[in-house]
Amino acid sequence: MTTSFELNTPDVMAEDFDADLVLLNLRSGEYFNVTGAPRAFLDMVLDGICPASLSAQISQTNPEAGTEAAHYFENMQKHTLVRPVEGSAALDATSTQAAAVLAIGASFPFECFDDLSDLLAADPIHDVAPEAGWPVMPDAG
Amino acid sequence: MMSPPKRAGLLCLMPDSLAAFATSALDRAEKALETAAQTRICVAGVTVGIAETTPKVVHWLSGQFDPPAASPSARIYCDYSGAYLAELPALGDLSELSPLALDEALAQAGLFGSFDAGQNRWDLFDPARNIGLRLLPHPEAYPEWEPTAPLANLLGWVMRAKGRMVMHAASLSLGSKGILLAGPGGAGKSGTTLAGVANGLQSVGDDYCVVSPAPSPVARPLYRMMKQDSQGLARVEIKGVESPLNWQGKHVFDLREVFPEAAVDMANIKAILLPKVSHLKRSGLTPASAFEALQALAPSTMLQLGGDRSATFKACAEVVRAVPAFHLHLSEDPREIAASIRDFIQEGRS
Repeated sequence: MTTSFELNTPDVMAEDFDADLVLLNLRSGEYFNVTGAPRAFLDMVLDGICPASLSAQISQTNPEAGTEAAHYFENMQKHTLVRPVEGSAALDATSTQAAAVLAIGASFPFECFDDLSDLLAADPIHDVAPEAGWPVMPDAG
Repeated sequence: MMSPPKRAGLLCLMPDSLAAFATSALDRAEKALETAAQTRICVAGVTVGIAETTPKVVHWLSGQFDPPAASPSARIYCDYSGAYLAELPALGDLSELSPLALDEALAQAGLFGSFDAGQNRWDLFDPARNIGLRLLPHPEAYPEWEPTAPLANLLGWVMRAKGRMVMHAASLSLGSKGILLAGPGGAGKSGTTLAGVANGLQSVGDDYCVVSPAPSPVARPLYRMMKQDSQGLARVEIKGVESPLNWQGKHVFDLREVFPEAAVDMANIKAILLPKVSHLKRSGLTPASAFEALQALAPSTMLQLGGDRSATFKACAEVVRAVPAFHLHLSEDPREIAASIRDFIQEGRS
């Protein structure tokens, strides 16, 4: 079973401005602008569509866009913006849904901004060296 | 070979200890405020009582704020004796304490706080009691920006407790209608504000504004001081500002003294403008996305004002959602810049 995904709240805050969805990861300080085709893609995934299935459907029409979409969603997971919903099966995407994404665009730029990261960095609760503990950072030697 | 420091216990205890330290310190401050002489100031309609162990910020504050019309609804105690800080060693080494970790630890007790490890400076606020506490190891340990923007964190939290938000933005207005100017330092906020007030526009601030986001954004002054370097003053042909230079090498002056008619108490915000030094012959406006407006407003506000940063982000988003945003491509002519903004405020953008 492929699980569906949801936003990784409360660590991730979302502000919806119609065209733009702005995500702020309070844990890392990074923030993200999700707009255009990525916004349509993410909306569908958050509605329960399987991201891999949606990327595959997009690839049927536009292989390059399908690869970009899959890579985009990998980035979202890497930046812990989304998380799987345990016990919730994702739905397979349809060609109509893929066409709806492609009608908005075929490009999936991952817009990540880190100018707030220094502010929130060095989180002593989560970013500690396992043996020494806070405030010794993992790469502090 | 040295063993790694045993900090596992500290790791577990630190958030609770921090919250306990902050609560205990605020308890002491509340008690001290019962008898301490307080200077009253009125910030954006909120009366705040301030007491200090050594008079310091009251000198900078009293000139900037209006006389209070009511008894204090918030109180701030400033201790420069080091007595409260003597309790801190029990918390261990806080040199790597991140702002987020501090926020989370203090949130356990419903408090806001900010900590400068280098100078051992603390600002703490309890929104339930409306009591703030400034701790410095000695009276001269205040930040370099303090004379221009006294008690910025604490006043920001006082405003937040009243449903208002201090935002890192400048403003220009005409009558009751105005705009916010948002962007990082160096974007042109202060220069644009100065160009405006020198040419007939009004302002509630050139660096910070107190904004009530709902039902539609209204900006009020936090401070009345403006700052500008000599070159900027010369550009708008202002003479006679003889103030000493601040830590940024800028002259600091009271808007009400230099441009008395430009200092207003509120402006209904109709748009957010994102200034950009563009060296054009005529200033121009192009639409900005909501993301661009939020990016101009939220990060710098979150960086400058501590405490519950998710609430700051949310409030900035609320303002961005309420009004349109435009890039303001600046010319080099202060009069032309002011005229362009005047036209925009009066007529909107076609």
